[in-house]
Amino acid sequence: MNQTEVAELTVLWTQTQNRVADFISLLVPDFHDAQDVLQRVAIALVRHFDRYDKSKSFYNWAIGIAKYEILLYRRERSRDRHVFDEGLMDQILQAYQENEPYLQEARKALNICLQGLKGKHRQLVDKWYLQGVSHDQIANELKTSPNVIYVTLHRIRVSLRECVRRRLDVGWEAL
Amino acid sequence: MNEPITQLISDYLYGHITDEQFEQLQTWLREHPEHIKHYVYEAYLFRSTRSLLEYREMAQSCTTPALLEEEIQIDVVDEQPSSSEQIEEIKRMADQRLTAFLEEEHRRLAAPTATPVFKIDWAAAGQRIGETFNRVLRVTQMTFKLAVVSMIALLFCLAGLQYMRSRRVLASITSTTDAVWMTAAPEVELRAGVLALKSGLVELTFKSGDELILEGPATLRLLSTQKVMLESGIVSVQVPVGTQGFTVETPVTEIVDLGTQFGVRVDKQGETESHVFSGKIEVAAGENQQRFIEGQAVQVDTEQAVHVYDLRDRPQHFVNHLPRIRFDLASAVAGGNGLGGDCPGYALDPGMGQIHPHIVAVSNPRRKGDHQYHTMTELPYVDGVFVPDGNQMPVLVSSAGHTFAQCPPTSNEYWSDIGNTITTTHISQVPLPLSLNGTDYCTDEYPGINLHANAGVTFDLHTIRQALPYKEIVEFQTVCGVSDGEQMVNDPALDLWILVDGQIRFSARNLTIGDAHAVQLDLRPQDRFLSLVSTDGGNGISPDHALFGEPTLILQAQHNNK
Repeated sequence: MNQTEVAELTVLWTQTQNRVADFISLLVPDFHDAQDVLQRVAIALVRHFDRYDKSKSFYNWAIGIAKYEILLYRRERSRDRHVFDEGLMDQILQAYQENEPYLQEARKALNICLQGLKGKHRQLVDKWYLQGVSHDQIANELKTSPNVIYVTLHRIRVSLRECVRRRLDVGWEAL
Repeated sequence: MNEPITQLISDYLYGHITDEQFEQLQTWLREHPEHIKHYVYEAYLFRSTRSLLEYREMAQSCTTPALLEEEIQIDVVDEQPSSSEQIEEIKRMADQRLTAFLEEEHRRLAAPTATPVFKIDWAAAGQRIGETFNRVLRVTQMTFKLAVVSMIALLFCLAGLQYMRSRRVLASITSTTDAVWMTAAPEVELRAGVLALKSGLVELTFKSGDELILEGPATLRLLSTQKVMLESGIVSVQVPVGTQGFTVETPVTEIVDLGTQFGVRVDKQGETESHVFSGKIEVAAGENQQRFIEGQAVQVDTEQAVHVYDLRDRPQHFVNHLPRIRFDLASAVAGGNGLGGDCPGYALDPGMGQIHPHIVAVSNPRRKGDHQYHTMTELPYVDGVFVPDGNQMPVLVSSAGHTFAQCPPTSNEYWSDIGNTITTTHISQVPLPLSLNGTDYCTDEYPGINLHANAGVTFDLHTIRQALPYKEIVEFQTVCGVSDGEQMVNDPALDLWILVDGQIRFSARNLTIGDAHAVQLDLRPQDRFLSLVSTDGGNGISPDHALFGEPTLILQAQHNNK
């Protein structure tokens, strides 16, 4: 790649990366695996940039590569049976693209709701989401059972979702 | 949305879902497009929670239990721009400014400049050339600046990604055995980085489920949950059934597991040898990629040339990694290493303490013992040999002075050397098979010690422990008795003994043709000398074809956890 192409790709990828990462995370819930896939997508984009048709959407092209990398990841991790089939993947992608603006609003609302999460529940959320500590380890530290941790995290997630729903001006009618 | 579905989605997102629950989730998703939207919303918020938190990078530790009893409170706060929103806003403004500038430059470049067809205004032309040159220069400079800014942004994103990845736990140390580290001992939970082990064994379990044993001295770099770089040292890898993809990179090659157990050794020059214990591996060296299966050993030298061997012909680099190993005393008595591979096939004269290249049996004249214990310094695991005769006490059975106090009187004669092969008669050159219960021993398939009376051999367990420092000897097993491999002229009657430090741990008296005993003895760390003895039963040595079939020490791994 020449300098111009590098500049072009970096601009396009910088604009698109977050959306591609969002899409991957919908199909690969494990954060670290999703990051692995994202990095592989970035590498694939660099390798195949000469094949990108500039008259078409870079985002759609990147999403296509991401879908392929997710399928590859699924094949390599054959012991992980909890990966959606291709038909569901396409439906999830379509639902994501159709509702992106609403999801971005929901994210803003979530940011505010997270600021309001306090005390031990905020600490638990930090431990699990931010530090990557396992359920078992958290349970060990708090001298409780992993099941208590699962249930508490689930309740926190539901509470945050309700908080977001209350804040949003535009309703998501199905919810 | 109903609670069971919400719980299902939680279980999936938190990685806590069973196979059955996952099927329920998929079925629910397929039922209606609205269900897909539900899921997308939930999963998007789930991901956003993490990314929003990471922007803040707060880390506090929890201190108290009783989470379930506390009501979850989410306070109402005034809407204020978060740092993430500010960052987004800055990015949007920067993009807008850059876009506007480029559009402006594009318009200026595209503006037509009129030039007379037949009259050349040199001054104006020169000025236009200069202006054009300046515009091109400005655009080039802006393009360059844009590229630099974008590269910086991309590098920032990649650095952020790398930072997050570097904090990720890749594996845990599950046990250590006499581990001595070159630097400070690492934490139990390992992130991307280097492990420098001076000596000992360390067992790691990766987040992927793969298990790795590292043997020092070694330097191992953890790259991801399924990839390591072995710069030097020895590792063995075992992966869960049905999985593949774990990769060991070395200075000259890359080995990918295809569902197996394998070992990799890298020497100081980077030369790499891989042994496939089960399943198969793929080895990439230069532009070549080849697959190898169980029982093969692959060596890649510093020129990346590949050499393939039978595993049995290679040195046992990974013996310390095996949880339980069998040490063959029949091989040890004949000069072998007890772990397979080449064995010289030596035979030991118990009356004179000499080593012969093969078993010698002499009928006439009968050879007699000298009532001495003969140490065998040439053989690493054999302490000594002797002809037992209770007529002359004490009967020494070890170099440390242990004695066989209960040794019965014998003729003090012996017919054959001690060895791991069958005997061929001295005059007629007829091979005499040694068998018990229909199994021919002292063969490649069924090793054994040929111990025709009167003879004794003592093994030094300490030297075996020194050869296998991460293992402890826990048991001795054998099938012993009187061979039923030939028609005897006279009925044999002989006694068999197993001693540990001179103490009887097993005895069988007055055995005759075909009598066989399966023996299993526990051994303790303080047990040192193991002696196998045959005596003639009081009626002379003809014929007293005693044998110890598959005489095996069982060793298992020692562990001292962190």
